[in-house]
Amino acid sequence: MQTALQAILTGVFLGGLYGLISCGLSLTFGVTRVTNFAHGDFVTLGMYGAFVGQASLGLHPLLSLPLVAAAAFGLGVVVHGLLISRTVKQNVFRPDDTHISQIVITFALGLLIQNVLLLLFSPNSRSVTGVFEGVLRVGGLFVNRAQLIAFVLALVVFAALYLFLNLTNFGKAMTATVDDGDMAAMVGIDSGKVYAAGFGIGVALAAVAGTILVTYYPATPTAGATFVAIAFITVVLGGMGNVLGAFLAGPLIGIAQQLTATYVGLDLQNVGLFAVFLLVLLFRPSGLLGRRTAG
Amino acid sequence: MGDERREWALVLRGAELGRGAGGITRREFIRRGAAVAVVASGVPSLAACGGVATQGEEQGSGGGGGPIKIGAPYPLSGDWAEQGQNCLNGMKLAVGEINAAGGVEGLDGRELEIVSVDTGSTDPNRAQSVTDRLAADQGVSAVVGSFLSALTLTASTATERREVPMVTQSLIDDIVERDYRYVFKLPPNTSSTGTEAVNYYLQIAEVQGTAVGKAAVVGSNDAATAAQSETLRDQARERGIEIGAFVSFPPGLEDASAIVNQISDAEPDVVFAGGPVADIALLVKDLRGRGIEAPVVGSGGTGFLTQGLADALGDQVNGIMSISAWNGDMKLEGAAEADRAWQKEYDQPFMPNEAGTSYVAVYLLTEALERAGSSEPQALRDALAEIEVSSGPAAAYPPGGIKFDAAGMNERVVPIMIQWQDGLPKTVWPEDLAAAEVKT
Repeated sequence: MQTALQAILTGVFLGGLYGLISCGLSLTFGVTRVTNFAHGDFVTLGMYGAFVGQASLGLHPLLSLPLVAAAAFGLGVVVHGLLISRTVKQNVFRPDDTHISQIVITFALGLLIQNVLLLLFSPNSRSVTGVFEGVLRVGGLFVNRAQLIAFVLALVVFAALYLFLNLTNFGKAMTATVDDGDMAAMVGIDSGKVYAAGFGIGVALAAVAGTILVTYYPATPTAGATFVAIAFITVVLGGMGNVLGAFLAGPLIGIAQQLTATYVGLDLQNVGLFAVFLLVLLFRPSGLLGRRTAG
Repeated sequence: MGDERREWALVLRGAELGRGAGGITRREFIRRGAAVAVVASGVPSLAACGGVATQGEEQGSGGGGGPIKIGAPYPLSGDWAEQGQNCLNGMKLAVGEINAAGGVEGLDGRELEIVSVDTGSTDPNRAQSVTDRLAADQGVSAVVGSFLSALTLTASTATERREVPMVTQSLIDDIVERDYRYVFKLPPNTSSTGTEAVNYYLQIAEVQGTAVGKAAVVGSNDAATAAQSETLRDQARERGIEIGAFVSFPPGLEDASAIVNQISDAEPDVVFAGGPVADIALLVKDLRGRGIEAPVVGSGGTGFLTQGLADALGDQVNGIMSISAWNGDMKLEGAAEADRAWQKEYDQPFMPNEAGTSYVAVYLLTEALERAGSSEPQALRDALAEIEVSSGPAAAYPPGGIKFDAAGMNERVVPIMIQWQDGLPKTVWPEDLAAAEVKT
């Protein structure tokens, strides 16, 4: 029983981070319809951002976090303006064809980020140490302090995102664009701005997740890529484009992974995750909170 | 994930080419793309370094007065680039010293020159093709490489076919189990590192008066580490140690608590572990965070031996032990000098074991060149097969001498045990090589 509780607890806390990584990806997809294959590499950028903040400026990762988020948002907007927005204007046979160039572009972007990081920092792992060290003991259960803080931060960031999307005018415009881009444009929403901001926020969320992750996970140029497969599963599980769904699916994925690791075998931990994923898709093809579309 | 990305990069380069040509047919586009892919993956980027760049100056370095070329195929890009570069730098250090001291004496003071090629980190076929070209076109007298066992396995088939001797710093047994005549392996076999991790630790525990009744064995499930973990487990049982937990995990963990739960339940006196540095860092942090203070002993392999582990763990790295092949502070003539020269040249806190092995390999080749009186690959191979060194930098390898058996395995070699102390790896076992006492 103790072991099961421990696995669930770890799964929930780890899942908070998965959720944070994934809701950025989901937002990007929901708003811009861009499948961002470089999402994991933006997580990596966030990790290095916090590392550089601590190593060269002596900044606590929590202080680096807003700076990294702002820089990442700017980067996202620039990337969108320079690369992604061109694909939307592309003259293609079918609208879906723009996905192909977007996939290739984001893939290439991911490669570029990895290799620039490799050039700047070498493949050696870099760590942010001395913050959130240690493990808390609650009753007979253990909680990794860094994971607990990551979970709380993920909740805070997600709450802020949720309020922004539902209470501000720009947030509502963004939600409207997710629901129906063409109609939103017709009622006067500047879709160009919404797309750019949607991409920027998605990248910023990835980078924020990275700054939290690096407090207990060493940064290497490919570290973020470890999480990208899980992020995609989380997004689909939550319902493509549904930010809340992605956030809630995170802990579910975390629990499935930890329970499999504990009771079936560590080697198979991701098999458990895929099994849950397939089961959900079997019974709810549009994901947990996804809507059925008219086709 | 990274590998697929690399494949994509090739496709992209193909696409770029296609666009530049403008208005070409689809077939032409694909053909050109494929050509780019072949060029990018198959052809080595040859770069001479260490001495003067003299590519294509003369074919074959058997006669004449030109430099004696030594091939250096290493992963200089991708995940293993750091270790590949360390090996290359270790060779450069030795070549620089030998040339500064007047070259190879017995061959009219001819200098050594390194010919470096990049094998990449992931593709054994590429390692084979670049090494083949090195042996066929560059007139190398010998090759030292390729660090990663998977790359060495294929690179050595190329040197065998071209009848060029290869000295390797790779670990797995298979390299010297194929009846090859041209391969010479310096470090211990993986089958012995797991065994020796147990034996050495028991000897250390005996000196310290600690009882070892129960052990946990944890290792990543890649072929080399899995084999190590299994031999380690069997040896521990053989020596009467109960195995409280045996955990195999996929490298690239997101979290280590599922492993730590099992270790915690087992309450072991010692934890033997192996795997990549990020996983080991997660594991140790979680163990220590939960107050499990059992000694952690690495079964051999890079994860426990790089500066990255010290960076990730901070003070928690101190006390961790690991099997290694070479360390700069061993009580062996020449090791400390190499370590000091390394720190000065590359501004790093210590000379990594793979660099040390590569450094010794170059001195050993030089010794063989002196004895052969020729830089012909065949004569060099015969000299290596006969060689027995027990002094000087060529013998700065545990236990202080090198001799190869008929299969090309260094029959003298013993692994060493290091312990991280004050953020540096210190040799603590065997006693006659140790530079420091084990700390608890």
